[in-house]
Amino acid sequence: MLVVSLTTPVPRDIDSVFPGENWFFYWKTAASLWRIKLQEFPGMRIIVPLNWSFHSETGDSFDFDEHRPETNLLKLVEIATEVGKKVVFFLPVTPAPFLPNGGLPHFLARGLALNKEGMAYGLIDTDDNLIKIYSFFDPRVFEGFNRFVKSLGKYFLDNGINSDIWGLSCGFFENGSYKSFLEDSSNVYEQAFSRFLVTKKGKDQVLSPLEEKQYAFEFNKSMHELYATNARESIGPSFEGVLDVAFLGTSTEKFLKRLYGTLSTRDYSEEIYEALAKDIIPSSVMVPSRSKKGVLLRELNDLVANSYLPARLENTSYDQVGGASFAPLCFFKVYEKIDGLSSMFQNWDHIHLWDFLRFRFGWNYKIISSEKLKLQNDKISLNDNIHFFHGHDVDREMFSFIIRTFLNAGKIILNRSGLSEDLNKKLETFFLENNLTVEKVNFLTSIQNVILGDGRLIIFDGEELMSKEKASHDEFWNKIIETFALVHVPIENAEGIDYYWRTRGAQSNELNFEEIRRLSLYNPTSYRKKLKMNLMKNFVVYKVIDEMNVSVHTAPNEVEIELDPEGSVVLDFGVFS
Amino acid sequence: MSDLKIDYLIGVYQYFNPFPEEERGSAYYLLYLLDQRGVLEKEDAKNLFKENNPDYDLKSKWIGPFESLDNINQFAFLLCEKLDAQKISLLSVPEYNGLLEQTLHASDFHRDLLEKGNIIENIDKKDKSFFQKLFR
Repeated sequence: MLVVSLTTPVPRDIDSVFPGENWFFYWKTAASLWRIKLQEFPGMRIIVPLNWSFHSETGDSFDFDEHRPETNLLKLVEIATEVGKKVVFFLPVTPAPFLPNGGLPHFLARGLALNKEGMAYGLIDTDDNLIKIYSFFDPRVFEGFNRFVKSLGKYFLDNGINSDIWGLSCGFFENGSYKSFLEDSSNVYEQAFSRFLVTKKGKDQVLSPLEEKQYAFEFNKSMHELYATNARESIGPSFEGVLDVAFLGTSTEKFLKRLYGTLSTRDYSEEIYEALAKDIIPSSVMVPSRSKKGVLLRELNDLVANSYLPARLENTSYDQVGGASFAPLCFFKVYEKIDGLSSMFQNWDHIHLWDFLRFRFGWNYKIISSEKLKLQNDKISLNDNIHFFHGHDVDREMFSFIIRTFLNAGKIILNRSGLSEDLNKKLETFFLENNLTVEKVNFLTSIQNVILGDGRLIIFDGEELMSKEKASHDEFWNKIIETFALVHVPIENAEGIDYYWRTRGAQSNELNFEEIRRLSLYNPTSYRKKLKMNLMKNFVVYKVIDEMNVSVHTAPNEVEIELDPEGSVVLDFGVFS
Repeated sequence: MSDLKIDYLIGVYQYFNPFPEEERGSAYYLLYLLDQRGVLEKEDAKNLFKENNPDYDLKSKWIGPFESLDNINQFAFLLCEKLDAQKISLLSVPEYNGLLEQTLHASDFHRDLLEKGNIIENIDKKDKSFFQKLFR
């Protein structure tokens, strides 16, 4: 019998075929190997992003196993089902940074898409190839996309493929702001925008820069919606909706850092938490495997792959506390109007709100756009969150949400800077009509405090506060938040440490507790870190799990944690009244 | 100022108007600075710019405005001297985009950023190197 042994090492394809968070790049491996690879894959759910270019033969015909077996999506679903995996498809409705040419077939990749500074988007895939993004504002691209999704929808229908399909809106974080790869400032975009403006303004009307900026926002939004709508209409009932995904490390600055090999774990991990705070799915598929290890890998698995992402795909309300699984612990909800203009005027940065929240409470807050507020108004859970509003953002709809929330025992902090005169008057009228006592105090700025049952409304003058130093801003926020007596255990000496709180209701076998809070701690630094937590009387350490390079010392009223470099640990606390 | 030795700098600049709502008009701005290790914090460059432009806001994202290409070249030379770098490779954004479009691999792009820009040499440093070699 001839025995053949392989001497050439088989390269690990963990990067190229399984790039992260259960994604499967089916085009990067032979169809004959799909069964083995899917069987070996530990997860239950496989996320399959659809590669438009891979299925494109010419502009008019598409390959779904006519020529290449790797295009046979039906076979992929059948094999996955046979090996006990569930397939979820992601269909990019914007340029996709993980695909050559951003996903466009080569014959449509004509005009480079440019960011606001006019620089072409540059990306590096896990094989160190350069990926360029091309403009989605070219009418030929839009037509080509329509043809593809129509063919795709027909193929799914004809073959009885009823796996969930999500539209994938791809973006990145830049200086804390989420940007879409659809955003473009190239000539292709300018031509399309000019055509749009013709339909919007009068023949001889000259727009001010602010008006043009507002129209640009409207145009970008409508283009995004057009791509998503075409996908939805072509795919039919299997289309679940559109997900915003932030690809870690893909801004221009991070691209340049990656070029020189200087992207750190902290560069990636900060974006994970930014994304979670904004209800955007973080994705590590562009992060090379040599960086995806240790603490970063644990953060991605704990906080994204095994918790946040499955919850989003199940369409569960991840914010709902009381379920069996952990939801993010959210003390604060900050509402922002996203219209291309408001961010120029309202800026919590100027009064150091973000610095304060991150220092005292980590990333345990949510930023909610005015769009989301409109869509989910009746579903937004009040819980015990403190709701922040900026006067510049408050329109009639937001104003009525504020009043409704207050009347329903909600807690509101309103920066009245930029609040319109009309709404200011409405507020005064509301107080008078309801015989509400308005306490006025001056502490670094003028503050009004109004109480109605359990509801609280604090109104302060942000403009006046802005003129003070940062130390005064910290003092202001400390004093204001202290008045809410939040049930929370701060972590001492946590600088440099990544941490995230989650919460769930107590289960029947946890009768002593009303709530279980989970604290995940990660040390991405190269120093040993000693943390201390002084426990409130209604907090008890319940479990210590997933210990890695850490020692935990518990005493009745305190916990000391020593995290070695790359150390991590999860602590569950029982909370009772 | 950083104590780490800087061999070379790469600067990417753009001619544009980042503040149309303020009706300022277009000018040249330095968007990114890199050295042989990667992206450089712009602190030193911003301080240098402020020495001749007292109204410049150090919190600004970019360095500028520069009225002309000559101005940005002069600044680049001064920056080279200040940071004791041998040379600076200056690329406009269109040049940067052109290189990106025609390059397939990250390592090639990395090399091209240095070699294909407009090179301004720090003559003083070059001469010192020569003399150092002579008297070694």
